[in-house]
Amino acid sequence: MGLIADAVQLFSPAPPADTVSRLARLIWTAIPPAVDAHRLLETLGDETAAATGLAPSICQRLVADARTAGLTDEDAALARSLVKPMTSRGLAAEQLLNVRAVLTWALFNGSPQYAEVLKRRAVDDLNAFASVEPEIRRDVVTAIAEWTAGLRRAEDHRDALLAISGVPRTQEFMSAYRASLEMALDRESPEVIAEILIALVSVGARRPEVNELLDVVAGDALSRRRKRDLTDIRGYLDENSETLQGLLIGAVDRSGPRNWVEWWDTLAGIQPASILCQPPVRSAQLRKGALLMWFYLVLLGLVAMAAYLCVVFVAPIVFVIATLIALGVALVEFATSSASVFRGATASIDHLKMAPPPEDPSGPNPAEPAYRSYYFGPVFRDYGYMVSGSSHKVLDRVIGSGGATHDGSPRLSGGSLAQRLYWGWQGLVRSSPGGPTAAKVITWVPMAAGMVGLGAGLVVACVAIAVVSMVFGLVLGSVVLVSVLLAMLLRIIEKITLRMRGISIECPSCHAGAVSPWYACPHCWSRGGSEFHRRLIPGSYGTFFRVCRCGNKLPTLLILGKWKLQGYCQRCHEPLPTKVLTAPTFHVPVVAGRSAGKTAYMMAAVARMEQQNAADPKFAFEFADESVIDGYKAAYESLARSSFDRVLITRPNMPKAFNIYLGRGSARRLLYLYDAAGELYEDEARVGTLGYLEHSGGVVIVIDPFSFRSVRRAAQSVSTDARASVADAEDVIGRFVEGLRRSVRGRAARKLQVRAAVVITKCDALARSTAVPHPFEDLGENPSRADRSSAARRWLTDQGNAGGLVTSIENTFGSCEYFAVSAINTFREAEPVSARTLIMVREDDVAAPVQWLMSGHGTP
Amino acid sequence: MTVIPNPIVNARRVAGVILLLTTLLTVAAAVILAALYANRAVPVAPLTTSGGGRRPGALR
Repeated sequence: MGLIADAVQLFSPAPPADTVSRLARLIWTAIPPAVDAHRLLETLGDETAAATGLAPSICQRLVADARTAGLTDEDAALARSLVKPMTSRGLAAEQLLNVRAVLTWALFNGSPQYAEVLKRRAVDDLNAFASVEPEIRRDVVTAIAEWTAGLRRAEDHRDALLAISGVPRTQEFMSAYRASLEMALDRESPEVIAEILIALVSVGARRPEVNELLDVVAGDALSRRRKRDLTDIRGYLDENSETLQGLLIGAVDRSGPRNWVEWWDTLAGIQPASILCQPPVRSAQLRKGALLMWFYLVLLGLVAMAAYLCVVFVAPIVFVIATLIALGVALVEFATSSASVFRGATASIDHLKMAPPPEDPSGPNPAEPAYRSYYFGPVFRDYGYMVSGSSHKVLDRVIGSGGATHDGSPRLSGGSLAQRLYWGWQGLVRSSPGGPTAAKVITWVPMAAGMVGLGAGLVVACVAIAVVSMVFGLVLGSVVLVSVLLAMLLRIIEKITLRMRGISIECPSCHAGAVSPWYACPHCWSRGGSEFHRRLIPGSYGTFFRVCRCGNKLPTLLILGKWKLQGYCQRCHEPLPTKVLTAPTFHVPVVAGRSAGKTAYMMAAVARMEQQNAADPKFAFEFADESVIDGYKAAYESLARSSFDRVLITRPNMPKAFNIYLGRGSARRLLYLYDAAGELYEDEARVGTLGYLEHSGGVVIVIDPFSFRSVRRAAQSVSTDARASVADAEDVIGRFVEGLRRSVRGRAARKLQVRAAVVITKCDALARSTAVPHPFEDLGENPSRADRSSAARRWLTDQGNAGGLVTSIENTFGSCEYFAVSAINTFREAEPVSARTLIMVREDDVAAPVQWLMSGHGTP
Repeated sequence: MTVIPNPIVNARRVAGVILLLTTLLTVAAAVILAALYANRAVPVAPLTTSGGGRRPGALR
């Protein structure tokens, strides 16, 4: 290497040609091989190299290298330098041919691309290189043979073989190609081997030497491959039969058969199929072929036996197992899907259409604000949903074919039983060591038995499900029927019970009979709701209870607590008394003229009854309208202070009843006290508008003693203090009686079957008068009720000159009783003393008139 | 999600219990009927010989 460098230094710049020539010869004798010779030529340049005349020596050296160590890439590079026009000057024709042969070797030894160009080049070169050095020619032919054997497309391979095998001296090439082919058949993939075989077969139809290759080399090489590779080769040939067949038809000029395998098997002179199935015509190979034949025969027998066993033994077992599995899975699916329908809180109720319509704040909603009863129809929707859904799911689970279910929900992963069986069978067939065909033959019948078993199990399950569903439907129908009948029965029983006990309810505001009161849900109304339950009775919204829109449970029967709910009049929508429909009602109008002391008397009477309740719990007193309690307490405190300042003046509009419950058990009554303004009794037409008169069970006729002119004149000083009424009592009573006669049933009778308690009020003022006697001042100790009544009646006729009034009252009412009371004295412990006689007078209990009226209706 | 009132939930659960009981009773009835059918009395032909001959097993 040092010599080369020195020489390069020496020759640059260019010295005289003679000097260079001699030096180069000198160097060449000392330097070896091609690589350095190539560098030397590169360094010298074309002209200098030509001048030195080194080319023939270098070429000799190249040939010598090829003989000793074979061709290398360095030889190829040196050959490229030598074939340049300047450099090659001086080379003999034989030497130049050797150089070109080296270049050809390099060409085929490199990349095997440009197949078309190379094919032509190979043919030319094989012809041209007949006279090159044998070692070089051998390497060149080997390179071409390796290149040919490496062609992977059948068409390229075939064309190359056809071109090369047609030239003279092919034997040398065929030997090299044989070795390369053997290596390719050992190493390449089944697809490439199939392509090579196609090429060999198509060329073999014309070239007998290629047929020999097929019979010997291919047979030997393929017999060393695995059986699976051979199968894959056959499979590849089958799959690409149309394309490959076209190749072969073009090569042999024959019309092709229906498929590649037939053509392959019947091709005259060549037995390519035997290459795959019965390779080589050699004794060892024949033995191997025979063994294979026996092997396949035994295998066939085993397959047949396995198929027979499958049909006889396995198929029935598979059938039974599949039937049981299908039956079990179907029943479990039915149970789970049915349970999901009736699961309760998690199952939707939208399809039941039982929810109330949304609340309409703009106006009254005619619909009930409650959920429909589940057993009055919606249960059948659930039933239909259950039957439909469960049957679909059972079918999907056993024999479904994928996709979405009937209700749009995704199917469960894993597919149906039929799909699983089929996929499992396919997997078994694919992975079978004996091949898919044999596995199919063996397992087809059990698989079919499994499918039939699934169908049989499904049929049995469907029958069972149908029976259970029918029985369940019948039971549900019975439950619904019982619910409907029970609701009707309970309604009738409640109505009869109320009628037998004489219980009704009348609106204290509009005085109409509340036949079917409306009720309010306490939960909704406490949150600002305003909807009414209009028919809170056993029915389609519930037999015993109904569910309000808010989810609150409301009883439909009084016995279950409906009476605890706040009732409302269905006509005027005003609140009804509390504990509605728990006691018979008793209506008592308090009648008097303006300023006669009606309100004071009524408040005093109520206060007195409350006092009696406090003293004796058995008496039982209870407010039935909490809204009046405040007004009552104010009046009570005022009367207790002997004042009337907080006793409100009654307004001349339609009076609202003052409701209280009195009594216990069967004697319990809901008392309606009507305190109508005195102005209403001053006009006969207005009296006729008092709707409560028709309900009257008794009448309290309050008479202000100072309304009589004679009394007022005699006790003038006291009457002023007593705020004497100026209304004529006889006129007031007369108009009231007329109104009452028009309202009460049996008005044609001479006397009304209504009690009248005639109450002389303001007796405390009479006791203070020295001019007018107190009604009871002449009575002795402990007078009887009759004596008191007679004394009061006598006082009216004697002092009030109201004989006509008394007669009129007694002729109108079936029973009359007279009382003398003082609202103020009710709250005083000391008995009043008559100013005239200075004797203590004991007035009537202010509650006595009301209690007397009610005693006629069973209340003590 | 709509809140379903408890009384309706309970009513549906009652329907579910009815379904369960119906299923159990139906299965029980089917089993009983199958058992009765399996143990039904099968009429057996009397062991007599034609022509007034001796009955099998009769004492000579």
